[in-house]
Amino acid sequence: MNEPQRLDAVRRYDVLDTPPDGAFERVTAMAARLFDVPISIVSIVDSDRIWFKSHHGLDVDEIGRDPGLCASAILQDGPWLVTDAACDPRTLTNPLVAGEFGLRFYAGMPLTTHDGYNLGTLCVIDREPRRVSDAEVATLRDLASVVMDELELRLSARNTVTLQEQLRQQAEDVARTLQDSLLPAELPQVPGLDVQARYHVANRDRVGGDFYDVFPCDTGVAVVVGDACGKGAKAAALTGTARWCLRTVALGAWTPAQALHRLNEVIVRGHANAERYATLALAAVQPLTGGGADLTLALAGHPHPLVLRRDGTVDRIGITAPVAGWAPDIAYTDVTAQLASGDILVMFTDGTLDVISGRGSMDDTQLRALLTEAAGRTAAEVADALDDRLSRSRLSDDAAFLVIQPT
Amino acid sequence: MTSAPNFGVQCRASDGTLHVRITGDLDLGAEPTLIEALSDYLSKHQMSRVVVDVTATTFIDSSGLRALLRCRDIASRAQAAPTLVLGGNDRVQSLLQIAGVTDWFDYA
Repeated sequence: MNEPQRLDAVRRYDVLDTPPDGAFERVTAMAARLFDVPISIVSIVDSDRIWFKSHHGLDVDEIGRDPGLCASAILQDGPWLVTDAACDPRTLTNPLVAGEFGLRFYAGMPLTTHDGYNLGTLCVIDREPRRVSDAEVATLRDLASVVMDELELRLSARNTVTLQEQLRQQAEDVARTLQDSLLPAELPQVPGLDVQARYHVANRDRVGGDFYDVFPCDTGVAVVVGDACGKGAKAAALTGTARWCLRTVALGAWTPAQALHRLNEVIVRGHANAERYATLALAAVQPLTGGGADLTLALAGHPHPLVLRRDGTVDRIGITAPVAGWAPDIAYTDVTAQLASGDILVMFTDGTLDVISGRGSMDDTQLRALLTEAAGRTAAEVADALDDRLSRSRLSDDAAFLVIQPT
Repeated sequence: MTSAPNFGVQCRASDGTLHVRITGDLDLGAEPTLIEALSDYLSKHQMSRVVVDVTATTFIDSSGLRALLRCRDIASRAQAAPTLVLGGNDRVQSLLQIAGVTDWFDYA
């Protein structure tokens, strides 16, 4: 037998130095009774010692490996029998036999794992010589099987617990990774613009499809807020497609409507049979040297962004068009608007409206009123006011919003 | 996931038209029930038209929206012309209008 591999098996069962256990105590008590001997042991043979999982009739926890008869017993597959140790050439010089202990009879049955490693033995020991019948050997074999079953059971229970823990850990990692993929790691610093973003999660265990992205482009900055229909990994995967598709399109000459058209084609052609849809609001914001900014915006099935003017007026901007993924060749429409210095553009997902106007509502009246109250404030102050409103409510859906203010 | 207690799907067929009436809240929990009901029916019966009726639908979220849009795709793939019947609840109507998906047409 390959000793290093056998020791690996001993480690795998993780039984060494574990506390006493009723199941094993019962087996050794039963073995001693059936054989009518004073001592019965469940032993595990370690690299340098023989450790006793159960030791009926013997007040010793372990012995050195050298004198141990169990170390010899595990070297073979069947029973290891010594009927009179004092006359047996294999054992007569053994200190347990020749010494004070006076061992004369030993019958050991290896504890063999399902993959063939002998971990130790179930043995019965007497200080008198004895004969052993075939029936007794069969009994010892059955009892050794019971011991091995118990060890296997404990191993598989332990493995199950470990596996569950690993799966839970993996699921958490996946959820966190997906969540991270929905949002940019950090918002870019754009001269002339103050950009604030907030994200609220309704349920930590279930990744929603709300997302936003802000990235610089040749003409300023691209800003997108979206909702990939549905929840979980599929929604997150579609979010990734949307974010990177838009970022790619914005590397060249682009308008929001053109970019949404491209994205729609990507989703429809790539996911024609996968029922994937996303609502998006996409804006190109170009800060102007004298203050303020030019805004171009297109919508794909998304609630209209709002522009809060310094006088408290709130304009709804954008032209409704179908969700991305709805059908090939959808025409999206660019709308342009001017943002004066201090004006505020608010782009949000329907989860934000859910909180402010009630579940399932697309009515933005209350959000507009809330913004009017915030007239003249900074982007961060407006974002905090909205954030506060969201934090005080129990979310039924995720909510994301962006607040952009030209300086 | 169980569907909302007030959610229901009624499928009624006549003259090659399957009328799918969605009642109550159409959300993440309701989605599988709706999709299964429609897929199941269309796998067993050849229909020339599927009418999805949201006049008695009280709520639709983004999962519900996807469920509804999947209905159109499933009908189209089963060679049944899909139609959406709007009406009733303002919230549902405005969601579908904002989503730009009130106009159903065949594309498979």
